[in-house]
Amino acid sequence: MRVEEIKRLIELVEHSQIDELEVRRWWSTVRISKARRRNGHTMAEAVAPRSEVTHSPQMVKPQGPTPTCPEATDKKEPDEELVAIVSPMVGTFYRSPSPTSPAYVETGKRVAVGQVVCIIEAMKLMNEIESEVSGTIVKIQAENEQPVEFNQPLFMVRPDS
Amino acid sequence: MSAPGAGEFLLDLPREETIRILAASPLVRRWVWHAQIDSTQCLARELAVSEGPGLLVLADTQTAGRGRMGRSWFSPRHAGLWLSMVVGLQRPAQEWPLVTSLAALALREAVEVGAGLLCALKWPNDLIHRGRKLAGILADVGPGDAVVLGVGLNVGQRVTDFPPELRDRAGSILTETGQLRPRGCFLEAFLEALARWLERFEEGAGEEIRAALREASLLMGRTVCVRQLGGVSGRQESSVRGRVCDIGVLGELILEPLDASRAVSEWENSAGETEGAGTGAGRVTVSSGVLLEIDPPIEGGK
Repeated sequence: MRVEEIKRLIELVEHSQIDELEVRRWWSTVRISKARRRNGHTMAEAVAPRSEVTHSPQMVKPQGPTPTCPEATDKKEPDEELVAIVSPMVGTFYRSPSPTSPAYVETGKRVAVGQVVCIIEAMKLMNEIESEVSGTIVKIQAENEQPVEFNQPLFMVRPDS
Repeated sequence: MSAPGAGEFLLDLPREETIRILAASPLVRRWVWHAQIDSTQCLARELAVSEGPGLLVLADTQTAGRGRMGRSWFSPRHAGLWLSMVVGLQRPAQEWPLVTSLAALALREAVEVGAGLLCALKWPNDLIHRGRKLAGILADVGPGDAVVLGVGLNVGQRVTDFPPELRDRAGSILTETGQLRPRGCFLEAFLEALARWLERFEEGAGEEIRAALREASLLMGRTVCVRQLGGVSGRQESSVRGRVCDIGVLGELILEPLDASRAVSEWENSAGETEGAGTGAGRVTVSSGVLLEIDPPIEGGK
């Protein structure tokens, strides 16, 4: 789901009597809840309950600290809004298609919507993770060829404005 | 669709017979056959975007058959069943890693039906007989609610057809039984068994599938050492040694670790999502990695 869509949903909930709204589109699920309001902001949270999980990345736009990506807000630039690309499943994180190939993406490089950024493997099932946002890779959060958890942030992306 | 003309053979059976087998499978809506192709998996992934579930790609030989993480797969002409198929799935995507194990169960049955040979499964999904690998399976997620399943079964290779460095670890139906059998027979049995296992998967028969995987597993009760792939580069602690005490809900190995090292807590973290896998305190669930050691060794075993 695009950041702009999440923004619109947050505004919708903010100005309505709805306490909580969960929207599923393809493999992304976003839940917006007033009940978890902090500092006057409505929170958007990428959720994927165990029974509903996903093989495509979910985007999280942090508005204050969220349980899924606590490092989203850079301490040096507290106002910067980053989007996390998170792992859709438990598995091994690969930054390149083979050990001798260059990495799909590097810190500081741009990514486009639909661009493959990494592979997650479990049980020889390869899951190419595509970015759902265009922007710049600010940080790579996971180590190559290491285990990652479900919903673990893999990349932080500064979206194009 | 490219296939030999009428009266010719396809996968060692009369063409009409192979076409009948393909038409009878609920998993096959459209099929493509190539005498030679770089990789059935690459073509299936390309075509999957427009064709969707039900596409099957077959080849007589692959020049660049794909193994895991860019490794090559040895697939000479006329010698094996090389196929990739687009399988539509209804279950939540987090359960999809089990599909490669379902394919392994189906292939094991196909080899038993087609050649009377009972193989074992070596985690994650290799088909093993007398310590030799007869088949490999891998899969790619997507597009949409589907996976592209790639299968390679060695049927007609002689020992000398394998590169010298593989001869004690690779085998075929021919090397294990002394008999050459039509590849089409294995295709028919595989498609039938896979359709049945996928149906059970969609019905949520996870425990039945786990029981079948336990029964087929070569590693149950053995002690293994598994290394997470990043373990070589200064992170030696990311390997774990333990006794295989169960198979997880996604087909993972569940180990009782023999040494309580840092690795265990790291691996427990990575396994934390597989709740319900039957992991008890201190047990480690392994969904990805490389088997370094197996004790007792499997050469000439089950």
